[in-house]
Amino acid sequence: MITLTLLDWAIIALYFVAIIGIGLHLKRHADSSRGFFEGGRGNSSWVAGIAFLSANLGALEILGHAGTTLKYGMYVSHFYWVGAIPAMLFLGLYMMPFYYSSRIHSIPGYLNLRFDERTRILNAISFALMTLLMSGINLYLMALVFQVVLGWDWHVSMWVSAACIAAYITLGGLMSAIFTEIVQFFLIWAGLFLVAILGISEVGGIDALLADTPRNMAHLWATAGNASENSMGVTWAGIVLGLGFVLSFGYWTTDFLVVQRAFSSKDLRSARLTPITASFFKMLLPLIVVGAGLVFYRLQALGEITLLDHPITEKPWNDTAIPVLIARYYPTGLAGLGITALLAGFMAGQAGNVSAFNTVWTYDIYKAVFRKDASDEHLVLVGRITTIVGILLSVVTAYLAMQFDTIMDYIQAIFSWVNAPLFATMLLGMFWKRCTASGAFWGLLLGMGTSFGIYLGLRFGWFGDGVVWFLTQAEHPSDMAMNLWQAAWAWVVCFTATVAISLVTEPKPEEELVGLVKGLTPRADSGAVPLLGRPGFWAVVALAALVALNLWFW
Amino acid sequence: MSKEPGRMVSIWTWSALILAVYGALLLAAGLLRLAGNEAPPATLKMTHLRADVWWPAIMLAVSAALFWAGRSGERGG
Repeated sequence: MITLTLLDWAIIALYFVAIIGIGLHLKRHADSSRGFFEGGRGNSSWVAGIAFLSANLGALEILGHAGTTLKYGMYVSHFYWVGAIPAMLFLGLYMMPFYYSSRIHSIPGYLNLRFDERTRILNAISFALMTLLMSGINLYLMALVFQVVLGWDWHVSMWVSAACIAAYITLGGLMSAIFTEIVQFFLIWAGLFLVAILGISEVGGIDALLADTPRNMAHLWATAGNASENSMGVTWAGIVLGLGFVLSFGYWTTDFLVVQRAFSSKDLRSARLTPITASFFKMLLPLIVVGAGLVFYRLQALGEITLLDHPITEKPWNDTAIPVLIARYYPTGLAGLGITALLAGFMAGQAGNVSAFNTVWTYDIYKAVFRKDASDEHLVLVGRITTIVGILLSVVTAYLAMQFDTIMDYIQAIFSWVNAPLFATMLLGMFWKRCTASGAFWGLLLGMGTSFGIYLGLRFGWFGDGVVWFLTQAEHPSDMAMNLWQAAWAWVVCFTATVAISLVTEPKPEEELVGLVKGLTPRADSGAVPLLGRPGFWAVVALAALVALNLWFW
Repeated sequence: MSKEPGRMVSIWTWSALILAVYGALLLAAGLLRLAGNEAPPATLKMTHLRADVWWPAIMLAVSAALFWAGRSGERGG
């Protein structure tokens, strides 16, 4: 457990002062719906890009993936590289023009324009539920981590952080969330990168670290030919199709939590550059997460270090790897900074969920269903009330998570239920003008049902060995492998059903699809922009860096 | 930190300010430890690298760069 001194407490308190100060400063800029829900649509690609990445970079992800590295080793890097970068580049190059140019407030808003109200409401409700669940579990884990690592009271840390988030999002809306996400980005690097640097130094450098890691955990692709040769129990096909294509594209191109940040950009070129800028920072994150995880694994094997126990299961808890390393390396002051970085990560992740939730609820459920003629001022008021209600519902979810510990097992699967089939719907909607509203709605519903059904069948042993092999290409797939394959099946079912139903139903007239579908939308900017300002150029650079990293750690 | 009425302070300036305050506090604490020549707790490892001195110095350098970015007109919102 970490013992904090006065200096550490001062550093933590300063963070709270800073973010409340940001909320108060931004309040006067968030009195219109454009300011509150869209962040004013005036950000550069740097601001939107870092916020885009940070919205995904909650401490849950950092602690969780560092802990997962103890189990899967270098394979966790796939979540940052092949499982993220191609999708982010695809979003910037090909999908953003449709999103940004249609001036929508949200992803369900696009579905309404492209298809109809049914698909919008289906996605809005599933997204809202997913966001609240993620938000509550995030809050629960934050409180649990701080209880185990610092001895903080579970209820106090949860309510204080929830109240703080409610204050600054209610005041400044999306812009507050974006500002704190950028502060969080710098704090995470300042507070946690040093853990990896000191850890890698202690074990003798990166080469020595990898040489001492078991072969089934030390490579990205060399052991991916056979599921039994690697710690994740998955083949390259599962990684490429399940993670690299379906889950990754499903999350990065359709999850409104991250895409909303790009909508705050000042123009289309900045919006297109947003995910491309973010991709460079994303590629660097394994330095912290996987680096710290492998260091912990090595020190644990040497008997130098042990995990803290989970307070409920009373078994060693992988998520405590980074806090234990903080206690090992950080003296007074730096320990406070490390804890602040974790706190900032948790709170920014929470704020991201809440700001996305208030937009989708206000525009795609409240305005669409209950009050179609609501004024601008009324929508901002609803957004502010929704923020507080959303936070309270997150707290309720957090208490439920405490009562039903197995709820956390669902985290990994949630994205495959909601986002994986949605990616098939969006892909067909944007690139195939023949895709119909009925095809999209029923295809999406079938895809979501397929993912959920496979999840239940695999987890509760409803399928025979032959069916399990057919579905996952492995006799005993890991939880992660199951998630990758159920996402892939959800995508296939949604895609196939949408195409089949579209072919026998009536499409929208082409004049209603202008700006929403490729072939009916003017090409994005190019000509007069210098090479260094072109999204395509930076996407090629990012792709080259991705290939180099994969070859290095092959 | 000065700003014109009604204008939004750049996010780079906010970030720079936070890093500068943290960097200054941590550097002062690190230098005091160095000057006092006090032995670190036995549970702390890698203290011979003096990360508590050079890491805050790097934070201050990054904050200076962010201040410059904030002043050069990059908008925070």
